[in-house]
Amino acid sequence: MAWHHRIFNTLRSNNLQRELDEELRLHLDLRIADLQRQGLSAEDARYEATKDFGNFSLQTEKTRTMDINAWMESLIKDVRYSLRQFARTPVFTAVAVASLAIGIGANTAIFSVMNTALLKALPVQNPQELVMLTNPNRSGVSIGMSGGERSLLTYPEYLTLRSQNTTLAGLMAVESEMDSQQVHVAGNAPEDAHLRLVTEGYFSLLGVDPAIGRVFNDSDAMAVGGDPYAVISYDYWQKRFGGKTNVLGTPIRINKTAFTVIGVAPAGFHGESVGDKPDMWLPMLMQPLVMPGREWLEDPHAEGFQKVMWLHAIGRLKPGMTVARTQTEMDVLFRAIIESSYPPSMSPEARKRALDQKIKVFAASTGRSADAMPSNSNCWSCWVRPAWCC
Amino acid sequence: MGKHPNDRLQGTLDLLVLKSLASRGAMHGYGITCHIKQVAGETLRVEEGSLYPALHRMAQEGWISAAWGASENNRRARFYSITDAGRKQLSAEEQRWSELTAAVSKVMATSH
Repeated sequence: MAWHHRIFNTLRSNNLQRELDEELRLHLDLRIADLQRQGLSAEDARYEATKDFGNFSLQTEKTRTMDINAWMESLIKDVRYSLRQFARTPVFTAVAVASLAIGIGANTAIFSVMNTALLKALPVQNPQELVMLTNPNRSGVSIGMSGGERSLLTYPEYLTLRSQNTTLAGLMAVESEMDSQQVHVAGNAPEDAHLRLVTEGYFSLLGVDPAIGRVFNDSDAMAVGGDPYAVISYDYWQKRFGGKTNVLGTPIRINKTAFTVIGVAPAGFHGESVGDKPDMWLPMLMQPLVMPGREWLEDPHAEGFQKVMWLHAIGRLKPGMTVARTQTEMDVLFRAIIESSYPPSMSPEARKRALDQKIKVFAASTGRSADAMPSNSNCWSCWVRPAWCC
Repeated sequence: MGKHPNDRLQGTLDLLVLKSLASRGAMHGYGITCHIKQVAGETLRVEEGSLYPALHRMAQEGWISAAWGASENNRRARFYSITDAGRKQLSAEEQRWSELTAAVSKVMATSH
């Protein structure tokens, strides 16, 4: 059967079915007529004919199966034929297969990266509402005075923006660079763990509920050094504690402070930075105890030129608010912060440069990328990363 | 569906249908049944349940062709006729059949 005939039959299978029906019905009717001529009543003739003919629909089924079988058989023949042709031209086949393999592989690899970094939204509630007030492509600690668009914020700046803004439902801050430090789990020998300081409202702003236990909340933030708690990641829980629920209450000593494990983050949640996997999150107010000697919660240089800029700030838009509205508000608020936080004694040139500082608001639904450039880098082209187009 | 040269039942039905079409010209399915019954008598009955699948298969093999026409009671009927390939197949089947019957006869003729 010709290929076009086969395709035709497949596409027109209803038509084929109707023709078969018609053919078989004619057969049956002719038989009935013959039997009647031989003297049978109409009823008896129909009974006899049907009995001889067997199951009517089974007939049509059998006949239709023929078509499909023939197609399958010929398809197998076609495949065998092409395989023989391939075997006859091994070099051509190898080149063709390699080209396809490389092409498919490259596409898959690129898609995996794109999917992780650009397309897949953070596993948090309504990620499309998230905005970032700092440059997602920068991280680290910057001490001094920057000009132009600000990459990172100081803790006092974050506090002011959080309390004064009206366009955000909430604002939280997170240490911009993941810190790996030695910890003592339940009195054991020191081991390395990836830590990340986050403000106490971090989890509630992202809308992330714990797998077990609880996460930090604003009521934990009573005093500096007053909330020695740790929320561990799901992976760390599985890997280090075998997923046992008695992990809650385990003391983890960092420097001289014992942090108590109060909860486990949900599976698949690795924080706001794509590619980063903190083992545990610690409350921001514990910063001086986690990093002794670095009093970064206060601005020791409040009256001077030097500032410690080390935080990312992530906010959630109030319903109906846009990135543009937040940008407008942040322009005003940040200008006021800058004007009040540099000494009047500074030179006009330095003052001009200081006042030139701005906040740029980024849409943040896909989180920030952990392979961000350090903030002291001069790579300005990093501003145009597609993941963070506003 | 593979071909089964040793499947005598199927081979026999093919042989009967091809032979009928070769000797009588185009016929519809019921006509073929009647013809075989008429020639062979009650001894040999075409299983009606396998006739149409066989016709369809042989059409796919290209041994017979089908065309719509009018039946004796003036209904639309599909008339089958043998093709050149079918004639070739028929002579092969006939050959096989006579070989088979000759072989069977020999066995049957053997005295115990």
